Amino acid sequence: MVIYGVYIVSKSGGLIFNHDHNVPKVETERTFTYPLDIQLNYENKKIVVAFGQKDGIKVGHVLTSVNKNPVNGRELDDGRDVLDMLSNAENFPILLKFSRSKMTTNEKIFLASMFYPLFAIASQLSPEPKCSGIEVLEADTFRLYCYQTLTGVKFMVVAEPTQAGMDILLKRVYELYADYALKNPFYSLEMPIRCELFETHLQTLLETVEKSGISNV
Amino acid sequence: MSRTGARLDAKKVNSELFTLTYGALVTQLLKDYENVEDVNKQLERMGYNMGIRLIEDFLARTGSGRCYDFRDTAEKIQSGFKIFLGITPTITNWSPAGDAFSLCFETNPLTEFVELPDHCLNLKYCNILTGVLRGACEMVQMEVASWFLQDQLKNDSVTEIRVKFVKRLEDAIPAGED
Amino acid sequence: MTSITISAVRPRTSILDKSLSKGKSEVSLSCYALLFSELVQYCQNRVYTVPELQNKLAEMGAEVGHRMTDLLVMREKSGKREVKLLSVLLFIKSTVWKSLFGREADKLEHANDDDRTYYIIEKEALVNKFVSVPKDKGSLNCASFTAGIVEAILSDCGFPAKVTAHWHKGTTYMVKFDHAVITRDKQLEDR
Repeated sequence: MVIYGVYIVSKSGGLIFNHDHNVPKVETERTFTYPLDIQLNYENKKIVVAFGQKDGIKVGHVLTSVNKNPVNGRELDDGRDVLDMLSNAENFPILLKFSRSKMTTNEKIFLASMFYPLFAIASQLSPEPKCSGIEVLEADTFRLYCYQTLTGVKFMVVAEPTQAGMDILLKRVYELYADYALKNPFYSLEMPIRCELFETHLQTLLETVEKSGISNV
Repeated sequence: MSRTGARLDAKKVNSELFTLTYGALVTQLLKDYENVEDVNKQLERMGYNMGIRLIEDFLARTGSGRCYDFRDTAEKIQSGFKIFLGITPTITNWSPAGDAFSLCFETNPLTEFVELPDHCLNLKYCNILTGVLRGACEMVQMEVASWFLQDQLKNDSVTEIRVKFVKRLEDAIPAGED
Repeated sequence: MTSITISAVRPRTSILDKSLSKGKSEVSLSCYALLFSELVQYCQNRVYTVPELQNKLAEMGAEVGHRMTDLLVMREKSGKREVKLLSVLLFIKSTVWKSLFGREADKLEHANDDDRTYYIIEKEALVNKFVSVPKDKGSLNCASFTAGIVEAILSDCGFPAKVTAHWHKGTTYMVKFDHAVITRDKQLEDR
């Protein structure tokens, strides 16, 4: 039973909170000989696998370290360009680590602000009036649940398709928001939530739900 | 921690602490602002800030749905007073058009043992309540105006707040609800 | 205390005619927390530093404390006045705390190295229940409000002291009595 993450979008559509709970870490490290049989591309400031999927290294994975040195963009810490290194036979055999890319905060903010108009479009598509908006978005690897309050704040959780009780979880997160974010004198509405008590209570709530289900909460 | 049923928050605070804390706040405002009208405005503003947050607490705890009728609103406001202040005002004096009503109450934790001195006779001591109503309703896309018709601190037998529906805030309605 | 005139508005029953409140009525914690949050924000807008904010909160707490002393002594102790230091501290730790916050404070301790200093300790201050202090506010503790209440009550009972709130074992209120208080208390013991 896995909960991947929680998102809160303010009524004006901005992402005000995000918590990655159990993002599965996918990493593969292997020694390669020259020539490299994986096609790499430099895009979005990352070196990404374009083609040549094998042994757990999938298309879209990011090159994160070379010979145990971390990769920044397309360079190592010492300034050497990685793609140049990989085209030079002298550097082989070479140890490369690939992992699934993590979303940056900006990417998350962008996605969340995309969700807001999506939600609005979905409501308009409804043949009946007074549509609730998107409540569940289902894919093969996850389900996204969304709860929109009367005030327009949206609470979303991304979880495994088999995880039950997520709609109740969202109502509990709403309560935590009403308590530990809104009653905090140092929190202003619509701003990113950075309240320690909110984060710790949310963490506890998610862990409890994952371990023993929603009825214990 | 398991919860049942309506999930209403059972956590309470001694109302004397509440009364005195509010009193300390009003006293401080009177010291800081020379003009009683400014204090009235400040209290309303603070009430507004409280109201926009209190409504989320109310919605989260009671799971209330949207009001489509002002009488519905009146009942929800009445239950809000019960939940938050522990008093039950009576709803009276409905206007013929059904767009205004009065909330009357005789006890009020804000004013327990308060007397208005001569130099503050224009002080609307409980003005924070009008702000709370304005803020709370605004967050659910309803504009209301409220004011005091009677005030026990000014020698009336009850305190009466008039609440009037102004308009629905159409452009603020969350997607899907229109 | 400055005097005020209340002559223009003559209420039907003066508040002095009402009987003493039993102190049993309640409001919701949510409501109190939001009021306290507004109070903190109001104070914060009028000061520049964290110590000033704590002082302002303590001043407002003192307003509350001054009005609680007589009420609590009359109601809970039938007017009996405490004259010993330890008794007044126990009065605060148990009676005052129970009345204001619904339960007694967790511990009362005497400092090892200073006979003027005592500590009242509680795991979680009621006023801090929903407050998360941001990192840029350093060691700000809004329980300075409560410290102000305690300081006012002690002073009204004849035991002047300085009370401050600290983040230690939860919330610790450090009570530092004036020298005269300690001297007087010792004399009382010796009799």
